[in-house]
Amino acid sequence: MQIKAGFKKEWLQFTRTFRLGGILLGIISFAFADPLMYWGMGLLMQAISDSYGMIGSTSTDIDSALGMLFGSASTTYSVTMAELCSTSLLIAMLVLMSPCGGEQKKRATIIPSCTGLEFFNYLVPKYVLYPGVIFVTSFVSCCISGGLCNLLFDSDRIGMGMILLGAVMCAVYMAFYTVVYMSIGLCTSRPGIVTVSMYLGVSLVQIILTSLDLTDFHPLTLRTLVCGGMFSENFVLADNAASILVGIALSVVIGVMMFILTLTVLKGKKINNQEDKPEF
Amino acid sequence: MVRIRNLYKKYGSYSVLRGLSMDIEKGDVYGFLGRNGCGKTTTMNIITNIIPKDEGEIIIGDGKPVKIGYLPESPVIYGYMTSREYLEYIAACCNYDGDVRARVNEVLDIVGLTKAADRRAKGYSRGMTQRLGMGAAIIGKPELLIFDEPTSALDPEGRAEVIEIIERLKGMGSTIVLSTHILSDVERVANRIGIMTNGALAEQGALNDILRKYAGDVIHLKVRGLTDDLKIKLLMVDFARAEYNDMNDTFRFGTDDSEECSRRLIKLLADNDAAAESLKIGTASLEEVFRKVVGG
Repeated sequence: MQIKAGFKKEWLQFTRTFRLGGILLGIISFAFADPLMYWGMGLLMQAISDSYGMIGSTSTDIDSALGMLFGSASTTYSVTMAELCSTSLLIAMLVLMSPCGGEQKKRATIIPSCTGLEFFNYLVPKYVLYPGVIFVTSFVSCCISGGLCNLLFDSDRIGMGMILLGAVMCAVYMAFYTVVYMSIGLCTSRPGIVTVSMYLGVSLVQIILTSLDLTDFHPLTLRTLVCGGMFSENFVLADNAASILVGIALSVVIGVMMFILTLTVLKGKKINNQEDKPEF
Repeated sequence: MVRIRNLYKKYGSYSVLRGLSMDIEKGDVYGFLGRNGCGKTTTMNIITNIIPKDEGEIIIGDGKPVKIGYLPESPVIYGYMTSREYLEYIAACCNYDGDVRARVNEVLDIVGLTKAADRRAKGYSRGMTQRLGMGAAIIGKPELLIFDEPTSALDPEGRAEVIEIIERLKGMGSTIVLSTHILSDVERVANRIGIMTNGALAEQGALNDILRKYAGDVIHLKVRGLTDDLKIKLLMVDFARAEYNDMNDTFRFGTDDSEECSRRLIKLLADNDAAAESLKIGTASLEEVFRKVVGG
């Protein structure tokens, strides 16, 4: 009963406060914006290049450079993925501040807690709804972006299988990130600080892991691959398959562990003043 | 219903509660009084398990778990929900096993929000939010209700509405702890009070007993045929504390024995060829008692 009511509450909070709109706008918009922007810039640069040709200059080098920068579907797709994994996630974190610890900070949970709301039932709807929506939205966004890149650019087109794989990896990473953010936010009731820390922290962690040569077999591998060379010609899927699978599996396992950790922390904070006897 | 013994609580080095002991009986409307910062909210937060105690014993009910409904001083309601949705959510939180829809309608009626039931709480006035908070506190039919300054920051109309709800709940036999600075509200609804000072209860008991104990009775007398000479005589009587109010030409006598005092006043009037136009016996106001107890 509490879980069902919790789902309804979270859904109302999500849909009636522009949170769902914010997530959709923040994630889906990049699927269109980046490919269209690079395509437009390519056209613009092409026009400039043509005008150089018309006045007698050689444009071969410029054309070649433009082809690399603005004419490649795979490059544009990687750039879009990088935007999704950073800017879109920042937007998602900002939008989800209230359900991820903000309502505790505002003491809005006092009345439900006093009436008997169990922490498990409080957390389950959050951990299903928000990462779920982020996962679906990211997946759809990646698919749109991949299709659009193939449509707009002629060179280095990406295979359907790679688009879907990239979309799954990106969506898993974003859902994983959301779960970690939500957990820390709920445990600390300080979503603002957590947003800033995580936005800066992920890059720092990635630098540390790279410097330690720990680039494979963890959730951040997914991000590195989709934003890096996964869609280049010399990428061999078979060589990276194990790392991708472990990355996805670890993301799920860590996500579940974060849920258990959050539940334990919140339960640990639960007070029962009637239990102890006086100490005199 | 609630038994607290030697409750202690410190914030850093500052002791808020210093051995608080209090008793609230079933069916009481308990006026919990004290100056700002004396520890009332801390006590209520400890009873409702929002903050931990340092030391002491709290027993609620007879060993069985007791449902508590709590209204914080500034209840934070989910503004994106309507009253109906919010109450349904709270009913689910307290695992209400009856007909939720019927109960929600009943509570909306009690707190006077039936007309606004399908409007989002975001647009509610402070009074409406407070009433919705009260609705949330009572929806699970709790055995104990704790209201922390439910009328503070409300306009007179909103205050009257909230007090009316408390009176209605009192009529239903609820046990209520009511913390407020508005003493006239306490006089109106409470049957027992506790006055807190320096982190402990300085006084506790039935409202009327405490009023009598601290201020005794009060006689309001209006005299027909009052002369200046008689006025001085009445103000100088040695059997009561006399005051005169120019605004309504009424004497006010504070006394511990109203019967004897009235008899002597009537005799004094008769001896001076005057008579009582009106003579009313009542008890002193809670405000006077409060000032005496907390030393204001």
